[in-house]
Amino acid sequence: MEHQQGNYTDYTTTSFFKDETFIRHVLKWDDASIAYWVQLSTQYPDKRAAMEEARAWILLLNREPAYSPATGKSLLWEKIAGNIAADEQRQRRYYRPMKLVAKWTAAAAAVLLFMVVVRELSSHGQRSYTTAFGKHEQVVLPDESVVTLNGNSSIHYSRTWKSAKPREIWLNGEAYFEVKHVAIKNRWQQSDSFHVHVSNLALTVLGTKFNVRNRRNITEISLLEGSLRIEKNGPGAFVKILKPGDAFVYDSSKQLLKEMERKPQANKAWTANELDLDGYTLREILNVLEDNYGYSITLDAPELAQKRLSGTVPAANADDILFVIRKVFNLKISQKANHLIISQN
Amino acid sequence: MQDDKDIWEAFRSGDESSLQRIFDKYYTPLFNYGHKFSADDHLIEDALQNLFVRLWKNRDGIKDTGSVKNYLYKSFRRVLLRMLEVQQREYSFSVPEGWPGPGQELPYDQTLISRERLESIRSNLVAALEKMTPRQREIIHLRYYEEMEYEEIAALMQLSVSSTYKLLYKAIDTLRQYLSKTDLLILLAVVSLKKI
Repeated sequence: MEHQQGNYTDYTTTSFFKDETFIRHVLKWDDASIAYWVQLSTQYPDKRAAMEEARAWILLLNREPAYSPATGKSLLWEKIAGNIAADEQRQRRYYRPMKLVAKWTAAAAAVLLFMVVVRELSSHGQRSYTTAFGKHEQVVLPDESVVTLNGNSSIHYSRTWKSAKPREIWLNGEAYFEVKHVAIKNRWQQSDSFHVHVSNLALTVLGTKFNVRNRRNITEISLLEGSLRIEKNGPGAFVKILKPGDAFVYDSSKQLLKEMERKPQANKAWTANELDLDGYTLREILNVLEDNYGYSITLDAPELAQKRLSGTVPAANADDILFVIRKVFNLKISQKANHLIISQN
Repeated sequence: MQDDKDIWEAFRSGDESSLQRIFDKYYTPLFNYGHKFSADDHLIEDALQNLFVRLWKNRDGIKDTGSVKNYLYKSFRRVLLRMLEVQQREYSFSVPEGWPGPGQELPYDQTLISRERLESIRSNLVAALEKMTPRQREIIHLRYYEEMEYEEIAALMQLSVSSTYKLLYKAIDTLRQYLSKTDLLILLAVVSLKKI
């Protein structure tokens, strides 16, 4: 240990007592520190008593025996361990599940928010409605036009309908439209029109009531009020203006438009939960059951397929329709889940 | 023998046996320190229990510490003083006890000092300590018994470092008034010795 030889002439007991180097020497002496302080005591013989006293103070204070309590260490630890165990128990029972719930709730909320955002972004602010088999739904559009969706059908449209642009809506399946007339009298603008995109046709109307059915590449358009223009662009392009009471059917696989025998009123009967059988063959009725109610049907009596019926049957559910055809044609219907096998009795 | 830091680290990551090892190591020193504030063993036990249960509960929020000893002393002191406060007891710090009685030698002493002189130094030291304020006694204890540095004492007693110096110097000033009267005979005896 190297020491800067200090000046100790004025040193007293208390000086030594608070001298860092001296304290260190007294408590943790080594050969070097002994050599230093022995040398110092020969240099300052008059300081020996003071050094001695300071050393005694330091040692007395430092070597004070530790207090030993009457009670035991292990006993106290047992208490602490018991306390800790009880606390752990409480944590497990109350706080941790709560923390976990909070954590998962937050995570679920974040995921939900993310999904909503992604959906909004990916659909460009589109709004869509889809019905399940056998269910109807009424949708009020932003312009207060009303669309009634038949089962297994969907529409979508842009959420923001600007007044300067034509209203546009896309349809899959079957729907009945009651379009609100927004044009001012004697003034017609492109922006007042209402477009329905179905299959590869564009239907343009002003204020009208019409039914559109789009199943199996066949699109039936039945106009009840007002006027309607069917437009087909691209190959086989045509334009057809419908008058009230007109019903046309377009086969997109054959690109063929022809007049329907069925009346428009019959085609919209479904909105009143009825099925107007007027002019329908058994095959066509079964198609309705498949398209609107989600059955898959095997007809084991092909000779009956083209038989026709007339009249109106309740159509709130498929059983009503099935009941009628079973009675009328004397059929046997066996059902396995959604699969119906129809044969002659 | 693992060092404090590793054990502390293991305890903070949820190892209860590490906490027990810390408890085993510091039980006696902390009890001894606590005993200075109060002679009530049960109170000190409660404070220790309080401290260790709280350490366990708050282990997630406990930071890495430079010195486990300082952390424990500081927390323990706070807990104990709060409990004493609740009991409306005044802050006190007892005078050292259990020193070698009259006729005994200094521990590991090289018998350089005559017994009489040692006895007179001892009784003067006790008298001086009794004269001191509790805070002065505590700082003497921390400096010479616990061998803490000024910065550590300042943190423990929640003082500034300069106030810590001042407090210690005041304590030493009290000591000065109780210097033993060195008589000539003893001085001569000392001079004849070679080693200190």
